[in-house]
Amino acid sequence: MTAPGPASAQAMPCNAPRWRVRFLHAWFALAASLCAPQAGAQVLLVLSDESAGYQAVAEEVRSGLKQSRDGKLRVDAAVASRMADADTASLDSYELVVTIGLAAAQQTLSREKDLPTPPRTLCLLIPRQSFERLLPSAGRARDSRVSAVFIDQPLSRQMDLLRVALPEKKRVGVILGPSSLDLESELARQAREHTLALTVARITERAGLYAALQNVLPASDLLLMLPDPLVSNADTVYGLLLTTYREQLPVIGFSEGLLNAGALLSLYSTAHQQGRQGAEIAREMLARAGSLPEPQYPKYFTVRVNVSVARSLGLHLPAEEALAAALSGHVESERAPDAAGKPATLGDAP
Amino acid sequence: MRCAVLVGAFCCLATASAARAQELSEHEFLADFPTVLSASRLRQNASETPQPVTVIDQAMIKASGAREFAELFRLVPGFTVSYVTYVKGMQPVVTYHGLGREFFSRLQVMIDGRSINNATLAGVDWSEIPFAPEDIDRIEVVRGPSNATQGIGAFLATINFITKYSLQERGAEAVVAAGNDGIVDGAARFGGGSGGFDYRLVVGHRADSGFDNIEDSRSRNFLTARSDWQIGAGDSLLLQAGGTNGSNDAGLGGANDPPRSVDLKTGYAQAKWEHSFDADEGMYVQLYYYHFRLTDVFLPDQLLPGASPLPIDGGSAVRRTDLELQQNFSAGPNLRWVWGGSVREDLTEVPLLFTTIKPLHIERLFGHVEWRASDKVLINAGAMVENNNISGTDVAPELALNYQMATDQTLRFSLSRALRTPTVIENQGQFAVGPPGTPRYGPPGDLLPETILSRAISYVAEWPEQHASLDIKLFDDDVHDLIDLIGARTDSAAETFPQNAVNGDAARERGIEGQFTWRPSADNMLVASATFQDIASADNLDTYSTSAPHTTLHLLMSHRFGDVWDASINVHNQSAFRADGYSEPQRAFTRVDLRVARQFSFARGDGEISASVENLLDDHYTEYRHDDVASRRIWLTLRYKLWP
Repeated sequence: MTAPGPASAQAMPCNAPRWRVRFLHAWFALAASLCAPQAGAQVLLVLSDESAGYQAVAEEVRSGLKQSRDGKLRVDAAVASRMADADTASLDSYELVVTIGLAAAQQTLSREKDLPTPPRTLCLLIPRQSFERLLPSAGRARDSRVSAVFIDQPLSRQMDLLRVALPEKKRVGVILGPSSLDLESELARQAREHTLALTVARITERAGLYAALQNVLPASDLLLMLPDPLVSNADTVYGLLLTTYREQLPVIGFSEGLLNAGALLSLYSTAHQQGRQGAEIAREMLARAGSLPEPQYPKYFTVRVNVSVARSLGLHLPAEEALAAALSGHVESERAPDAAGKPATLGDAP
Repeated sequence: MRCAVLVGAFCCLATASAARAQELSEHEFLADFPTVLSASRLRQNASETPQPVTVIDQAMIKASGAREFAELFRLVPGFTVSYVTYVKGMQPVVTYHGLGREFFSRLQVMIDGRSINNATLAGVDWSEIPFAPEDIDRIEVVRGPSNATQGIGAFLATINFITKYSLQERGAEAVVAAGNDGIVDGAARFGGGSGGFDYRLVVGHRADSGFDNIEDSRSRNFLTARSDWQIGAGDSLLLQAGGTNGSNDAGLGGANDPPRSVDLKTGYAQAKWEHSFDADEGMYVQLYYYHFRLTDVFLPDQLLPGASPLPIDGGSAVRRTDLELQQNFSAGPNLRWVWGGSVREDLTEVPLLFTTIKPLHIERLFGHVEWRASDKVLINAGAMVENNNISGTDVAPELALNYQMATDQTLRFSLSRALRTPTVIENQGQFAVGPPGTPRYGPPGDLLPETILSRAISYVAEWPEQHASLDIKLFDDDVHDLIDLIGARTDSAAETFPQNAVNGDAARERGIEGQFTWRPSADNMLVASATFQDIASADNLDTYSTSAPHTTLHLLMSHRFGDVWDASINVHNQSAFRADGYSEPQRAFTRVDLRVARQFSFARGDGEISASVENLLDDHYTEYRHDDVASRRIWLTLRYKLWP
């Protein structure tokens, strides 16, 4: 269920004709913009590629900016992989560059490196860790000229969800891989704040996954999945879900894909929700012609329950609406921890 | 050819996964996955099943300390486990609500969905299971008749062994055990795989010398190979094959039953293809083949001086082929249904019958609807239509209403009728049909199937905070047309086939049974079960009314100390009873089993050393017959596992 927000996001069906229109739209804009940047071009959307998910975010940003500057705001679009070196200079002419996806952020920030005053850049659809790793490698300081809406949900919100949805399940199992290892101390702190017992296993190669599960599952009431390419990928999800289901334990996912595959619950932001938040930030910035806000977690999110799995596990969960409403009450308190000020003293997870 | 295809696909998948970037990006959040927990894989929760289900999981198997599969059922409410040494060596007799005897079974027993009831007399080849207890993921015991959902032969109850998926057991493991009573067990297993293709190999050996005072040693080698292949989006393929090979010491010493060794060989192959259309709809097709051969050719004692004895062939062979299809549908969250069908052929050879046994062909169609009539009411309705070339066509319907009284408390009212088709031997040749006590010789095919009409009320409660659950069943079952072999009850020697078979008896079974499970933490477990039952029967041809103990109590407790020590205790008590068939009265007894284990780490792996004691108090109660005297058994087990 979608969390309530100030202006409800339109659910946009991704049917084929619609997709095609959007695709062409972006393509024309790309051709028009990068070949000959024109005066009045103020916002550039950079998509990682042409796939529908990125198009949906771009469309949402574009429609959110329709009313800006009395409807005269010009929004161009480009595809990261097709940007040529010659286009780098043209980036300069935009007030705001919105990147959609990690590849787009990488391409854009690395090109901006060569500019004397890089444009303000807002990264959408990017995991927090990826963004934080990208900044130093792109030679950018964490300043008000670059910001992001992360695709991942704050750990505190995920833990809130556990407490609201499954109050009797207090033992949380997590498997961390190389990409998610950084989260361990924050995970431990959040678990403690939510009075949850945490069991963590760390893996460095895929082969270690099942041994890790054997260690974690007996001591856990549920398995909380955190995004990590080594832990959750097309090869592992099958075994992960089957193994936990055989132990009669629920899996808490972070995407619609995991929910459909067999996770009990998933907390995630849709492409539309990401685009909507991106548009709001862009609108605000353009109106004030000011700085970008701090990088932030998604304000809009979706909670979904896999009813078949819940029934099979004999779990009685609150309705999706109630879960989303309960979580949205906590949104204010969630701020992305400062990269430098990340608590480093709490590495006491078992 | 199939190997080449598999290897090719395996290589492609491995390459693809290796090529994938290991950097976290939005792809992890946007990726679509095939439905893993599809409708055909999700099972009904204990509070929503049409019959009570007891699940024995790996933790319980381990804590029970059992090395004999049959032992695991002592903790299931309503079950009685006994051992008989008769004709072919030692064999377990496992029954639910009595009505059990040697060679026969009114239970349906399956491994991963394939029946292991022997086609000759429907008995279960308990000693021919081609793996070790630790290869089991869980055992689901459906306590009640359920042809509609569990298939052919699900008469009194159904036991389904579900073995571990290949990917649940990665790495290499070796286990050895030795103890008194000639116990020598060992197993080695290896699991590996990549890119959605996983496999496991298990080879092993188990042997013991059976009861102390008779020659009934048993020895088996076993092998199982399994692969699970996730083929693209919605398809998976399970392939497994295996077998056992070994011998039993047999023969009680009568003229036609000299001491000897009989050989047993089994083999099976199974393929199951599952396809999910979406999260709620899917199907599977399964084909399996099972082969059983008992070799038992011997010379009887010479009765007439000077006559040259003719060898007797007491063996048998069975080949079963079974093809099954099932499809799951859903019409919204409140209505789903499943239908399917199967065809089976059983080919049986029993030389002693001096006749060619006609193949048994069984076709069945089944359907089952689960309708959530309201938030509190769930209705399960189903039926099986079975047609076979012995007893014709018959219908087994099943209806259950589950009423959720409160969160985590459910009342279940169930009504079901089930069938047990006469076996080929019961039906064959000179076997007769007639009113009780007056057997007459008749043509084959006149036997009726046994039927049961079961009425039960159950209460299922869960305390999720405490990790506790309770399941109580009150039952009143009528069993009709019980088939019995007519023959003089004798202790001296094996009766040779053929004998007469009739639909000779009826029984009414009433009682209450329940199970309480409490797992307050990963380190503690308590499972308690109790059964009180009464069987009423005219006992025209057998001792049905005494065929189950009035009272059975079982307690299993386990605890982990300081992360490395495990201790568990089983206490079992049952009142006196006398099974059917060539049984003798079995007195009441109490048995205590203990297991202590220590975990350790060595080099790159984990190990465990454990000591198990069965019948700690060394109570010399008799099992099925006076020769079958229980005694204390002690064994040590060493296990070592190397993770990949």
